[in-house]
Amino acid sequence: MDNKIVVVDDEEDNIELVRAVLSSKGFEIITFTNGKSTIGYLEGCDELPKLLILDMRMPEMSGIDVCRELRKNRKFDSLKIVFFTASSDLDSNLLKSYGVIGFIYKPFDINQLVEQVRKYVKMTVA
Amino acid sequence: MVLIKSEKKEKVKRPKRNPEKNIGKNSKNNPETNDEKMIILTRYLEESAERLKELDRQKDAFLDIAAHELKTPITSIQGFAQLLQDEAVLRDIEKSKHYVSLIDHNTNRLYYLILNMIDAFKIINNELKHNIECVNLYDVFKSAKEKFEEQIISKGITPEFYIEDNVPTITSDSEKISRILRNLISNSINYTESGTISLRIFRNGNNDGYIQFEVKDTGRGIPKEHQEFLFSTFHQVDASLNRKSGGAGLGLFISKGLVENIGGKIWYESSVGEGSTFRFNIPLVYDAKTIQEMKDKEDAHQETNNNHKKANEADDEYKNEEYQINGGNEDGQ
Repeated sequence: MDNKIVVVDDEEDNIELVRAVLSSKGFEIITFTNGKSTIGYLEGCDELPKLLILDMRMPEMSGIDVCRELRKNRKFDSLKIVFFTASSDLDSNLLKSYGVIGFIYKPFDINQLVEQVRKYVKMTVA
Repeated sequence: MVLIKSEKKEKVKRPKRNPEKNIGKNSKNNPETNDEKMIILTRYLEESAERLKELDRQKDAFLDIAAHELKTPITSIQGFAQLLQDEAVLRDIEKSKHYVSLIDHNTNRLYYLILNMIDAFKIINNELKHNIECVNLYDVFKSAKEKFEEQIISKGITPEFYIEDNVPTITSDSEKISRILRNLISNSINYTESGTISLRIFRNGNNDGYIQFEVKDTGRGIPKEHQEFLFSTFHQVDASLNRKSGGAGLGLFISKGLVENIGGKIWYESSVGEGSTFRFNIPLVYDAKTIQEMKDKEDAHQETNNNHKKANEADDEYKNEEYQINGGNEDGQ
C-alpha cells in the first residue's frame, strides 16, 4: 500500500487518536502497542511503510531500543522513523545517530500532525 | 534526564554540623592551625554543595516525569476535542459519543494524576489530612467494582470481586480507601496481560479489629531488584527512557502514605512471571491516639535501626547522619 504508516505507542487512546486523524486523510494506519510486535511485523513485511511513528517511552522496549534493533538490519536502512514524544528536552544529536528524521511532540494540534506527517512521508533520506 | 533508581539514592548525606566544634579534637596535643580549620570547613562546604545538587537533581527528575505524564492524557483530551469540531465527525453520533467518553476517561485520569502529585508532596511534608466518617465498605466495594470491572474485562483478563458478608460499618476515610484501591488495581491492570485480577475485602479471622483488603493479579510480578525500593518516590523511574508503568511512579509511595495515614499497614508478595498480591489492613475504628502511638513506636524503631547503622559507620569523631527526603528524621528529631 502506498500510504502505509506504522504507529507505535503503549497508550491506546493516543493510538486511536492518531489513527482517527490520519486515516481520514487517506493514510493506511497500522498500529502496535509495543516494540517487540512492531519489529516482528516489520521483519515479515514485503514493503516497508512510508513512515514509522515510534513512541519513545514504552514498557520493556523503549523507542530507542526499537530503533537500535532495527538499525542492525540492512533491510531497514531506508525506513524513515520519527519519534513520538512528550519530552521536550531531547538530545537531538544522540537521536540523529539512530537515523531518526524528526519528532512529533505530544500534545499536538491535529492539523499540524497531518502537515508534519505529509512532510515526513515526502522527505527523502540521504 | 538523570533519574533515580533507588530509595538509597534518595537519602542524601547531610554534612556534619558545627564543623568548627571538632577542629583540633583529633589532635589534642597539637595546636589548632588555620590549615586544619580550612580543610574541615572546605569539606563541610563541599558536602553541603553535594547535598544541594542531589536534591536539585531529584526535583528536576520529578518535574520532568510529572510534565511527561501529564501530557499523555492531555494529548487525548485535546486531540479528540479537536476531532469533535469536525462536522463530519459530529454527524456520526456513535463515533462522537465514543470520543466524548475518551475525553471523559482522560480527564479523570489527569485529575487523579494531579491528586497523586499533590498528595506525594503532602506525604513528604507530613501534611496529609483525613476526613473520618462512617464508611460503608459495601459502597466502597461497589464503586471499585463499577470502576474497574469493565476495564479488566476489556483487557481480556478475568475480574474477581469479593466482599465478605456482614462486614461492619467502619470509621475511617472512605476517599483514601478508594484512592488506595484505585492505585493498586490500576497497577495490576498495567502489569497484567492475562489471567485474573481480584479484589477481596474481608475481616481477619482472629477479629483483631482490622479489615483487610487484597488486590491480587497474575501479572508479570516484581523483580527482586525492584522490590526493596517499591514504596519509594519516583520508583518507576530509571536511567533509560523505558516506561515502567502508567502514572508518575508515585502510586505505591502514595498508597503507603494513605494507608499509614488512616492507621493501617501495606505489604505484598510477588514472584516474577506469576504475579503480585498487595494487601493492606486498616482499623475498624479510626483512633488518632493509637495511630500516633503506633507511629511513634515505628519512628523509635526506625531511630534505633538508624542509630545502630550509624554506630557501625561512625568514625572516631563523627556519626554519619542521613537526611531522608521522604520526611522523618530531619535535624535528628
